[in-house]
Amino acid sequence: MMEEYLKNVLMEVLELDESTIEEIDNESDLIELGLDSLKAIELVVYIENEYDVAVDDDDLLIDNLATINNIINLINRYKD
Amino acid sequence: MDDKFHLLNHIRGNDDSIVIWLFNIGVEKKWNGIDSIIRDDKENTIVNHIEEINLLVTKKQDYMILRKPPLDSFVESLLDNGYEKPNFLCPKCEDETKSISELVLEDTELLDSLKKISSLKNVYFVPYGISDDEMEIAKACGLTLVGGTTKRSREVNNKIFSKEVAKKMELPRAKDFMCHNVDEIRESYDKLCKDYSKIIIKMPCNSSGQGMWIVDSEKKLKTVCMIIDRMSRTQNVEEWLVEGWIDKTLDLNIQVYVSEYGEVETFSVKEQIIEGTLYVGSVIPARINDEQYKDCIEYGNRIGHYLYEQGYTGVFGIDALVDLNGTVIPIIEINGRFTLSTYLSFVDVKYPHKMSYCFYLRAHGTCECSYDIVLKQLKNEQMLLEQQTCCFIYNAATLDSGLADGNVRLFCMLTGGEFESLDNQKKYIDKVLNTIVRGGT
Repeated sequence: MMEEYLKNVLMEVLELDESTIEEIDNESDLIELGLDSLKAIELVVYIENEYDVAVDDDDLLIDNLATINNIINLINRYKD
Repeated sequence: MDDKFHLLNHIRGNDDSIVIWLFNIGVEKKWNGIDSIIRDDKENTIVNHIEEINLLVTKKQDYMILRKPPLDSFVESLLDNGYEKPNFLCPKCEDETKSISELVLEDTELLDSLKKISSLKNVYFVPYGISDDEMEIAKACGLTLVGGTTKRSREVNNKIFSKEVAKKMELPRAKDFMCHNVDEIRESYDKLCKDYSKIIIKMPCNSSGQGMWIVDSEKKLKTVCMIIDRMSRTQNVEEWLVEGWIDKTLDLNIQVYVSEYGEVETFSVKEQIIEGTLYVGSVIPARINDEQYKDCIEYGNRIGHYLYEQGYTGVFGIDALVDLNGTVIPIIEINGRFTLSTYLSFVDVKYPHKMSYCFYLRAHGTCECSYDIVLKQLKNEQMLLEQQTCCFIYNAATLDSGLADGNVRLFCMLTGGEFESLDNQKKYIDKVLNTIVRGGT
């Protein structure tokens, strides 16, 4: 479920087409797909709203958002 | 100052003054105390090492403070292309999390060297931008700082100031509103949508596309308001500029110099290639007609005189555009500092009557990459023909894959031919670079 939601959000934030989003897996490098600090903040607000979490500034690192697995780990840390 | 120093005369080789150059990119953080919300250490490291671009304007008697001395092969290429090698000064510490100015201030040996240089005749200190740190270096070493003060620089760089200048000077401009919260932003969006197809929301102290969003739908507005709400939690931003989007045929960058004595010279008009809100390259000369060029020079000079009256001196850039009617809209924003574009301003003197396309490409991979590897590959691909005037890499350090964990950036200048042909060469170079970093064939 979380993966599916994240893929939908990534499709919008990174402006990816459906075929690209189908090809990416949980370890795909999102920076290679165009994630930068400008787009990352958009991603963060979507995540925070959807999962009702507030990520600390210290965790707002591009590396924490660089793969779907990294994003899932970040969300889970706050949900726990 | 001892003599009437004029920075442009110096760059053009018309005086024997000594300039100490410092590429303190990121100075905006010092002005506003605002950093990117998302920290990207690798990107910051790459940006730190764009400093070699400054070597496009240095003279052989000058000093350039760099984080790292450039590669011999890069210096050789600079000399082959008619540029001059200055003396290099490097702080001992290589901490990428600190600004170059902080590193200088912590290095007593380097400060001593600067003090010695300052005792020579006609020595001037020219940083990328001026904050308290650069003023402190100048004071500690007895250097004559070229440019204004921290306060003036901070004011001139504020996007609200740019709008006020346009209003006071009655220059053509888009409608705008100052907003203090997302409710006001939504109201302004509704009002502006009657006259414009899109709007742009700007944080007054933004830079490099950070804190700036183009909004063309209710959905996008909702997302941007969410981001602004999120930013308000941690950053102290009191005002937002919301303005109508002017449809354009091209973006322009106008570079102006104001001397300490009030002499104003608009020294460069370049076409800018922008993706979204991000600068990706310059076309020199800009593809505009004589009338539009004349307008740019006139606007640059008028704004320069106005800023001098306000107490500003030094280099500043104006982002402008040509609208669908062919009218030059002069102030989209003012940058009261050098920009990457400033260092490319004298390219047309080297290659008169030829078009140059200067751009950067990003790549990321796990294979080894370096300036020498890229240069060799471009030679093999016969991209460096015509005595290297057709393809020139003007920054070497950012091609080192060891610098930022496999992230590299290629800064390239292609000269000669039509834009379409240069753009095709750019795409080919992009492929070459990606093949190197990803190990393909």
